[in-house]
Amino acid sequence: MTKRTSVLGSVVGALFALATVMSAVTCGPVQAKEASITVAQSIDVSSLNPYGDINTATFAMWKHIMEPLVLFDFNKRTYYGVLAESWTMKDTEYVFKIRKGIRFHDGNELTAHDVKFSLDQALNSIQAVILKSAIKSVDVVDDHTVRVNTKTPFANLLSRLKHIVIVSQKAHEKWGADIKDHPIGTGPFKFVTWKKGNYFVVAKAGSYWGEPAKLDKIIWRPIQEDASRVTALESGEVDVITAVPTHEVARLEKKPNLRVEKTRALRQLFIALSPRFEPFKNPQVRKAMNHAIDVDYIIKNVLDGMAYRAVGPTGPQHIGYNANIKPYSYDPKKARELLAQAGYPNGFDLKFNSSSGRYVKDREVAQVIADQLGRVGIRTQIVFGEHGTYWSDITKGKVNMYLSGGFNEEDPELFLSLYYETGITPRIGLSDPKFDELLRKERMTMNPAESDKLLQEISAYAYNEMVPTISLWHPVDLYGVNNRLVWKPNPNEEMYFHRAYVK
Amino acid sequence: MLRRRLIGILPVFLGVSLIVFVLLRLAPGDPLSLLVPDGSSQAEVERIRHEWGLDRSVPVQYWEFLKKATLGDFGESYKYREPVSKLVLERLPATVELALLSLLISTMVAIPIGIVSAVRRNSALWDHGTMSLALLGTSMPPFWLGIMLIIVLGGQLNLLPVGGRLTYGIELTHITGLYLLDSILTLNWEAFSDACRHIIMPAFTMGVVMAAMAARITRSSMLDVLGQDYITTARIKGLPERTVILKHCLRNSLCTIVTILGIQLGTLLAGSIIIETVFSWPGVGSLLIQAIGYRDYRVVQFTVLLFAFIYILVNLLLDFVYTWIDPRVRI
Amino acid sequence: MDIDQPIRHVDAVAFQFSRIKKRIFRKKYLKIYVGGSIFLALLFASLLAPIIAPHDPAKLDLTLKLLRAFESEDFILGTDNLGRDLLSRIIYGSRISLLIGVVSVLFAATLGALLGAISAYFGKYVDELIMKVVEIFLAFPFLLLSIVIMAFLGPGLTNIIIALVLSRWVQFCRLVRGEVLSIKGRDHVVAAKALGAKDMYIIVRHILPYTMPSLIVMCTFEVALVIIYESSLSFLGLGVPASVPTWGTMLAEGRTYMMAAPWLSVFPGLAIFVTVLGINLLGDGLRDVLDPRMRGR
Repeated sequence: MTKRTSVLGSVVGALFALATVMSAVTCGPVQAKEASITVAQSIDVSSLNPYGDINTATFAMWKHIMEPLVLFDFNKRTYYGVLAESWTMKDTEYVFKIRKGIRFHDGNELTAHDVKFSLDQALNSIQAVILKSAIKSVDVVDDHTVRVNTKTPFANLLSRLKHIVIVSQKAHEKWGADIKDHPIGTGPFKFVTWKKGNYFVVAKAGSYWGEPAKLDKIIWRPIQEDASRVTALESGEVDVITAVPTHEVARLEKKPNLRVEKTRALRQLFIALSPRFEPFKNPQVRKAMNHAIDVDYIIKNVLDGMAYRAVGPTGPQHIGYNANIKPYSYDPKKARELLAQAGYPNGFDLKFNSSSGRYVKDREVAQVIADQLGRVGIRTQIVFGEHGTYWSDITKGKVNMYLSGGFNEEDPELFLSLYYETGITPRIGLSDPKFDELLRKERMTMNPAESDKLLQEISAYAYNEMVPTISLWHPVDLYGVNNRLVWKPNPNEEMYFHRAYVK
Repeated sequence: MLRRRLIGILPVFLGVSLIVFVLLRLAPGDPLSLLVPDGSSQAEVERIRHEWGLDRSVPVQYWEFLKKATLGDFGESYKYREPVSKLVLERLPATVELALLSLLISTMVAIPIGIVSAVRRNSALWDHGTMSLALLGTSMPPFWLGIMLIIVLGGQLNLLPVGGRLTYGIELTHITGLYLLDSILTLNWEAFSDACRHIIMPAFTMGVVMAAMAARITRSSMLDVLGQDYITTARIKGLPERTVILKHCLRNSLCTIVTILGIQLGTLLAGSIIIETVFSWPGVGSLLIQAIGYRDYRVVQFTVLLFAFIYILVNLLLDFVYTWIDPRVRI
Repeated sequence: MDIDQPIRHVDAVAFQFSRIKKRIFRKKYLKIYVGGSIFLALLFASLLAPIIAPHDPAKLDLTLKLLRAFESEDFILGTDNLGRDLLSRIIYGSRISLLIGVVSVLFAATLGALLGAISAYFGKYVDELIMKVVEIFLAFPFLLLSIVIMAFLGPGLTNIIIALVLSRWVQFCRLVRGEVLSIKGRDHVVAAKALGAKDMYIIVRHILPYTMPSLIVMCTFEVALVIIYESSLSFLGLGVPASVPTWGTMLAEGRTYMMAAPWLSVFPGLAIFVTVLGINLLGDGLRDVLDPRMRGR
């Protein structure tokens, strides 16, 4: 008996000893003087090929290494040149002047040939099929001038070009197919290593044409579980985390070494109401549903106040935001009246598809919305699909009412086209000639002020007359940040650390 | 007989590949909708569908898949644009390392507990106590236990990292891809301790779930053996109880224990999907669940076949172990 | 080796005691009593949920959200993130969780037992064929199988049961096949055959009943396992839709609140634990009584 206990005892003792030794080693090697930060987000980089898979998080990481011709400035609300010094637009011709004296990380100089090469690569990739419908060809005018020819006058080209990073043609020729292991760009950071599923690391580039980066190293780590990400931030294992759960904000803000950065997002949550469903053919019904949902109540009680009510398809950070649209009031009585007028005094039944875990508290939101609709007689059965099914069903037009999150582009044209324009996609399945005409006109309008005006008109028309959706809110993106890092996030979910620094 | 066994594997592979192939294609969700960016024209989508070979009928696709698979070509991942074999095999060592360590933990805990509780049958502490613990282990969903550990050990006590496999900045020469083994082989203690700190929580979580099951099976198999006549004979002969239990009993319940290992392998491979997701462990399981989400058919197909291959291979090996433990067993 | 003596002594004393106790308490059945009463209590709770539950489990009231456990008399176990009474949700949750556990195991056991018996009884090609299918299913990680099936069928109560049945039947098939192999040579089966009974009749009347003891034991363990698997599927976002609360879904949904509102995941977890404990005790007890090799020990 005693012997057995002692064996057990020694095993336990050994385990404790091991644990003590291990805890004695601090979290990772601390390199003196090197300013490095670790960033945790829910997903990993999907590829080292900048024209491979498209997702916001990957783009954001890419943009530290490689740069596009232009980017959008959310404060000044205009596009500004990055690699392009200036540009002119005339009908179907965009002419870009490329900055002189910029060198890639491998030492080669950036020329117009690299730009043409990159755009051609992008045009042949999956990622940029959206460009294909717009761009006819790319020509090199001289060493530092590139001309992009569009098929029709296309005023929104810049918003699409901002996603196309410029790579080095010489490096591509040197490495051939292996180029995907040697990403070389002009950015303030250069690629160091990528251990799939573990970490992705960039380091400050030796020389940069603009203001040099202040951080020496950025390490991205994928941590999928919300609770784990929060824990990693609290324990100091990481410095920045994305998507802090709203109910953790208050607790994290009490910690002296942490803060929560809040940014009003471009993304808009909305519920699509497809006229494929018989009752939704009647705009009265769609208006009634807008009156039946108490958006402010949900923001306050489900999202802990971490959202701004959306009125119309665009928000204040978008180009062409219309601040004069009046929101639908929460008025269940009016909703019932409208339903009765439309011939549905007893409401109707339908399925309501919702994402699950994709947007902040989407499961909770869907349940509260279903509850509120139930009070005016619209009985919904919530379907929480796994993402693959949910999203495919939407893009194929198989669902009539769904909660979705739109996307985070400052130019609403693409969104309006995909969801509202006749015959583009079956996502809502609208057909409104007046809307189509307005959007077509907007695309042709090169003058930003005029295009702004048109977009405002479109927004008001869509919200008040078409009513294809229930606009819900723009969430507040929540980033948990260690106070040693000085950094402000962008409203488009792309984290950019060029000017960030460690105290 | 061995040859027959090996030939018998073939239909199993065919069956597994057919099921996964057909189920994936019947499942709602279209890789094109999920992987081609928003705003692509219909013509573009159809061009890519053709490029990926998804415009053909399912039987034709399956035939093409089989033809290529026999040559070891499983195609390129739709999402990652890399050969799936490379993509998956790169991550395999992480899964294998985690599985082996969990298996080690669970066996080291479960078998002694199982034996002791069988020998001390009905004793409050040794039998009922440990078996209640085992029950607690079986009734905890692994993801829940994992998150609890992360919050307590990773957060409150700040002892262990919440996820990942190795801290960035620690150099490690890759020999086998199993970090613990590699660091021992290269006498790299810094890497060893770091790898240990990363693996201990996931391995423990997975180990607990398996240990609970294994302890109960060990207990009942020991009870079974304890009741047999030769044990009574040995006792009557006056052999010390220790000898009776360790030599006569344990040896004979080893067969059952080996069977447990075989069964647990299935649990391990399936469990890896959950544990790897919870602990951000860069293995095959977390890749698989993502691939299902994106309908990256080729990755799912290859991974499932790989899992089936491992399962079959290990069970074949275990059959040999049987013959070695118990000469009466023939393959 | 001096450790032997005390054990034997203790054993001897315990033996005397247990003989006395056995007469009074029938200790042999203790596990069955305890496990069975837990299981019955759960069954009653689920059947009488509308009477027992203090609140409507689906009633949202965001003004009452996240009330702490044991602080309000009206909501003993507190409320969830949408202000629903946790106790009522757990009581109603027992319906779906038990339904999933019991129904899927019953179907899996029936399917597995039938195929296992057929496989063993007919032998030869039938056996080879069925065993190949079993091997295919075994080589397919079961959780993965459920995931793919769930993705294919879509979320829903029936679908989750189908997915669980399809991934669990093989265990029963293997068990029953092994048993039947030894039963089919017994005299009464041979006699029935000689009297010209039909094969299926023999299987159903003369063979399957003899596999019942081990089958019942395995069923009880499987019910517990299935409840846990359902929770894992919920974790992966493939569970039963939220309007129907299952313990697994509650646990999976409560996980982001583990710091802010631990009771959201602790109580459903506890419910699962008690259920699994009850069912396992019942299984253990049944095994001790039903399994002939265990009898008398």
